[in-house]
Order: sequence, then structure tokens, then C-alpha cells
Amino acid sequence: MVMPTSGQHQPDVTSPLSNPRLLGLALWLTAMAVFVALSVETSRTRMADELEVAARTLHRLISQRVAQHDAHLTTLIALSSGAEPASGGAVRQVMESISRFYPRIAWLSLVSLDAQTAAGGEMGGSQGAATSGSSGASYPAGTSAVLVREVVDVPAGGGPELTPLAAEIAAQVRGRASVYAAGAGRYLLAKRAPAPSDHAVVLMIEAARLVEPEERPGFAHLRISLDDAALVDLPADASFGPGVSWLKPPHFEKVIDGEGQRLLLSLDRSLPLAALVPPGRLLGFAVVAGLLAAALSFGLGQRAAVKRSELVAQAAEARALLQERETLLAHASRVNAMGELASGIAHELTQPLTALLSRSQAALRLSQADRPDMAMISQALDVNVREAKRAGEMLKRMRDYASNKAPERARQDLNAIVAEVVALTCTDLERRGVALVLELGQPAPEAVVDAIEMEQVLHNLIRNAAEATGRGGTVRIATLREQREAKLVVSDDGPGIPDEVLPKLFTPFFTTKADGMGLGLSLCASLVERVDGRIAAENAAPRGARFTVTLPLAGEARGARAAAGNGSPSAEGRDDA
Amino acid sequence: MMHKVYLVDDDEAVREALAFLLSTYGITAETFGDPQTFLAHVDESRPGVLVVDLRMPLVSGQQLHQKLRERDIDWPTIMITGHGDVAACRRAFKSGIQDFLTKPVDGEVLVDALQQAFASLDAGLEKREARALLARLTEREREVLDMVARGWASKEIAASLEVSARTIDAHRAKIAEKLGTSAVAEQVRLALLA
Repeated sequence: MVMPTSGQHQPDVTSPLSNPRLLGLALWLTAMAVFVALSVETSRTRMADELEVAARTLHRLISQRVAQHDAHLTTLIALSSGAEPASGGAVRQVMESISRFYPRIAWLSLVSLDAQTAAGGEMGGSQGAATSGSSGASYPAGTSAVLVREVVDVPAGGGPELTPLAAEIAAQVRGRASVYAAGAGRYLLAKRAPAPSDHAVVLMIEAARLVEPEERPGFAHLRISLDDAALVDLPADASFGPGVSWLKPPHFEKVIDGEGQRLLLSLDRSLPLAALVPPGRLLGFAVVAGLLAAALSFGLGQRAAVKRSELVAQAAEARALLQERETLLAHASRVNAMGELASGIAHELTQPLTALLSRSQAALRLSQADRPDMAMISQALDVNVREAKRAGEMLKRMRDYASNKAPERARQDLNAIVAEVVALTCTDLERRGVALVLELGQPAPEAVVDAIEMEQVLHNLIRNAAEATGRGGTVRIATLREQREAKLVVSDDGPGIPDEVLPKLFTPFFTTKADGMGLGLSLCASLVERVDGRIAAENAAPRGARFTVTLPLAGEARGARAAAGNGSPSAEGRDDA
Repeated sequence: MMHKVYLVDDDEAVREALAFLLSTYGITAETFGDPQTFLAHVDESRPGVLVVDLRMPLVSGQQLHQKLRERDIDWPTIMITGHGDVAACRRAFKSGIQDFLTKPVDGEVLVDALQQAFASLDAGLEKREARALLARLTEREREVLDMVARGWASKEIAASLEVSARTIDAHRAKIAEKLGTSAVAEQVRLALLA
């Protein structure tokens, strides 16, 4: 069985990106990703900038405060160790006032560094003062103990025991402050009075109070450290959650100017996800982008729908064009076949014409006789009328077959179609010496077809069969009903169809004939498929080929009628053309 | 004497119409639907003119003509055809066809052709008759008749054949008896016909 394939293609409109919903979703996701990336980047930059600004401000403030300490030290040294040293009471008074104004200065102390060798040292010191060398101010090496005697301290006894630091303080360069850790977030700042005084002023600073609470940026982890030991360690406010691990957090670190450049201010800011990508903005953007994507998707969907309907329309147009071409081809092929049949048909027409002429002349002669035999004349004319009608029918059959009027589907008696084709071709078959056997089923099977096109299909099959079987062969035409189908079978007793030819039989331009176009059977297949039928070829036993046209039986073929309705654009197109 | 017409055509309407037409000319036509029927019914004793359609299933007019020849029936045959086929026409004439007419055939043309065919048939029959008579003669008698036909006198013939004039006369009497006529003119006509 060979089922010819239809040449009609459905347009393909299902590529993934042409689905507007998927495209919309993809766009939305992309937009969200870009938004998150941009948001992270800008937030990180902004947060780093904030930290930088806050840290620099803080650094400046702390540096300013620290600079005051130096001023206090200088003032106190000047008071206590000047050319006219103030009384202890006056020093205390100044100290108290400083203490009052500067709460971060937890303790002020004026000490005297007394040592056994102190006198000698002072002598040496006076000499050393002239040289002002770094070692000149130092106590001689080997000085094992320096006695620290507190002269004035405010608040009294509020400071640590200075004895362990005495040697170090005594070893300080005069006029330059030194810093010592004092524990509990405090540090000591000590400065020796210029020579020859053996005084030194010591301040104890609460490091935490270098930063006013309102100055501290809540978002940052603030540290002030001395020799890597934290004096102040203020974590960020709890409201600023832990940062993300995949991003390097901003960090600020700078040595505080003053205090011997030994205090280090460092600030760290964590980058919580919520700060990097604020949920509210994300949500807002998601909604807006979602709406835009939905709108875009809808727009694209509309466009795709329009395009799809355009494609469908184009496909329908192409199909109509194809049908129109097939109709033209069918007509051309019939005209061509008519040429082949012409001599046979001419003979077919010649016979009634001959009879007509002869009988007319005979009647004319009879009428010219002395006593015309009117009965005979009338009979002759009567026969002539019938004969002329017979010739007229033949002409009509020919004209119909060769006409190019638009196909018109209607319920047709297949036996009548066979009779028409046989009338057209019998002379041709006689001439070829091919016998024709009809096996017409009763009641006649009916199908919804275009009579002329079906005649053409049958004619093609008969002609092929006659050519295959040759002189002395027999062509059989049968019609039958089989369940819900009408069948038209044309068989011959020729050599049959070679196996390798069978599958290609209905392919356009395939032919085994020397002068064939190879369009006959493919056209037959198209014409039959147009009316929801099918055509098949097979080899018959014991020999010969059998072609079977199967059509939906009329009356049970509602689908066929609907299809016929759909097929009408081609007919309309033709009318317009 | 009016001869018969044998009309062989596979188309009944054509057959009947032609026979009808011929009947108005007083010509009797016997009709046959196919050459086989005609061949089965043909009677040599009833000579006639054949009007045959060139193209018929199974046996063509041409073949029918051939078959009749094989049976030594050489009645004139008029071929009628619906196809103005030049090649077939030439073949037909070569095989001794009397006339070749194309359908539709005009009555006058057909009747003219038939008249000629009848004449030809008569001539043929006469010739056949003459031959039959002449066939009775011995070789010597035939020789003598030929010389008579040339206008020679009995003496001249005797001299030529180196026999006596009496012998020649005896031959001539035999000839007259065999040919059924003593008229020299009739004897000469028969000799020339054959």
C-alpha cells in the first residue's frame, strides 16, 4: 500500500522564545538579577563611603581631643615645674577643673621621680640639658629603682600604682608624651617636665570616652587599640545584623594623631543582606518589573497571536494556491487527454453524423417522389432526432471533460461516472485492442466528489491499465461498497508494478514512461485526497496491477462535506482570477 | 442487372441509415454488424459490392478484404472510415480497394462510387467468365485463337504453324464450340478480356 504524502505544511510557531509567557518570565528574572547586582554594588559603595566619612570625622574628633591632652600636660608641667612653681594647691585646682571639664580624664597626677642617684642625675641633667641629648635626660643605666612620689593627684588615689612604670617614665625623653596601657579600657599619658625638674605629669584617659556616644556610628564596629590590645571595642548595634560572607566588608584603620602615634582607630562595617538589597525596594522593583514584563509578555503574546494568525492565513493562502494550481494542472491534463482521445471521439461523433446525413438525404429523396411516403419520412426524421441527441450528448461529455470550470462537489453515483468515462474511452480502448470488463456494484455506491475530477482519476487509471496490459489484454473496472466506504477498482492483467516502483508511484515527476511527465498518478492522488479519499496501488494475483480509490460513502461522510466547504476558497480564488 | 450491396459496419445506426438511403436509389443492401458474420454468410454465387467500415473491433475492413481475396472472391470493396487516415487509405488502394470514402458519406458520392463498383463487378464477372471459357481450350486452340485475334486468316495461321489449313479450320470449329459462339468478334473479345 502506498499512501501519498500531502504537500501541505503547517507553519511552525512553537520555538521557545516565541512563547510570550516564557519570554516575559525570562525578562523579569534578568531584570531582577540586574537589579540585585546593581543594588548590592551601589549599597556596598554607599555603605563604604558612609563608613569612611564617619570614621574620618571620628578620627578628626579623637585627634582633636588627644591634642587637648598634650595641652593639659604642658599646662600642668608649666605650672608645677616652671621657674616659679605654683603651689600644690594651685596645681590641684587646675587639675580639678580639668577633671571636671574632661570626664574622660579619669585621673591627673603630678609625680616626682626621686632616685638615690637623682641628685647626680640632676647635675648630669643640667649638663645634659645643654646638650639636650636623648640619653642626657635618662637616668644612668644601672639605676635599679626610681621612687615615684605623688605630689598632687586628682582624684586622690584614683590612679594605678605607678611604681612599675617609674623607670620607663624616668627614661622618657623630656617634653614628649608617652602612652602606657592601664587596663580596663584606660591608658596613661605621661610627660616629664623639662630639666632640671624631676617632675612628670601623668594623665589617665578613659579611652571609651574619647568617643562621645552620639558620635559613634551605630552601624560600625569601633575599636581603639593600643599595641594590638583593644582599649575600646564597641560592636555595631544589634539592629545591624551579621554581614554576608561573600562580600568583603568595608574597613577603616588609621593611627590617631598625637599620643605618640600609638593609638589605632579602626572601624568595620558588616554588610547585611537586608542593607545591600533592601527588601522593600526589591519587592517594589519586583512588582514594577513584573508588571512591565507582564505587559511586555501580553504585548508580545498579542503580536505572536497576530503573527500566528497571519501564518495560518498564509498557509491557507498557500493551500488555496496549491489547490488552484492542481485544478489548473488537472484541467491541462484533461485537455491533453482529450487530444489523445480526439481521434476516438471524432469517430464516435462521425457515426451519428453519418447516420444523420444518410437518413436525411434518404428522407429528402423520399419527399421529392411523386407520392411521398410520409410515414417513412416521419419515421426517418424521428430516428434522426434521436441520433442528433446522441451526438449532442457526446459533445457535452467532451465539453464537460475538457472544461475548466471550478470543481463542484456533489453527491455522485460512481457507476454513472464509470459509464461516462467508458463512453469517452471505449473507442480508444478498441483501437488499442484492449477489452473492458465492468463489474458495477448495485446499488450504486455514491460519494461526494467533483464528477469531472473523479472521471479524470478513473480515466488516468484506465489509460495506465490499458498501456500496461497492451493489445489483447483486459481492463476491469469495479465499483463496490465496503462498510462506510465507496471503492473504485481498476485492474489489469499486465505485467504488474515492479516492487521498487511501487513506493514512488504517486510521487510527482516520477515516471517509467519515456514520454511521461510523471504527474498523472500524483495528480490523481491530490484530486482524491481533496475529497478525503485515498488511492492505493498493489500487484494482483496471479498477475497485473490493481489501483483502488477509496472514498467516504455519501450520506455517511459529514466530515467530507465539511472539508469540501473548507476547500471552497480555491474555487473562489479561481472565480476572482 | 442490379447487384447487391453488402454493408458491414459495427454501428447499427450507420448501417440502417445507409441501407435506408440506398433503398431510395433502388439499391438493396444486406447489412452485417461485424466481418465474421459476413464471412460466415457470404455466398459466392451472389456477387455484390462490399461497403465496409475500415475500423471495426477484432477484424478490420482491410482484413476482411484480405480474407475474401484468400477465398478468391474479388468483389469490389468500398472502404468507408471515420478517420481521414492517409496511410490507411494508401494501404487500402494498394490492396486493390475500389474506393475510399470518409464518413459522413454523401449519398450522391456513395451512389456514384457504387455505380462504378457495379461496373467493375460486371467487368470482373465477365473477365472471370471469359477466363473460364478460355480455360476449356487446349494450348493449340489458344494459340490459334490468339492469331485469329491478331486478324490472321486461316491460311496464314496454317503457314505459321506449319500445318494444313484444314487442321486450323478443325481447331477453329472446336474453339467456336467450346466458347459457345461462332462469331469471330465475340471470340476475339473473350480472348482480349482474359
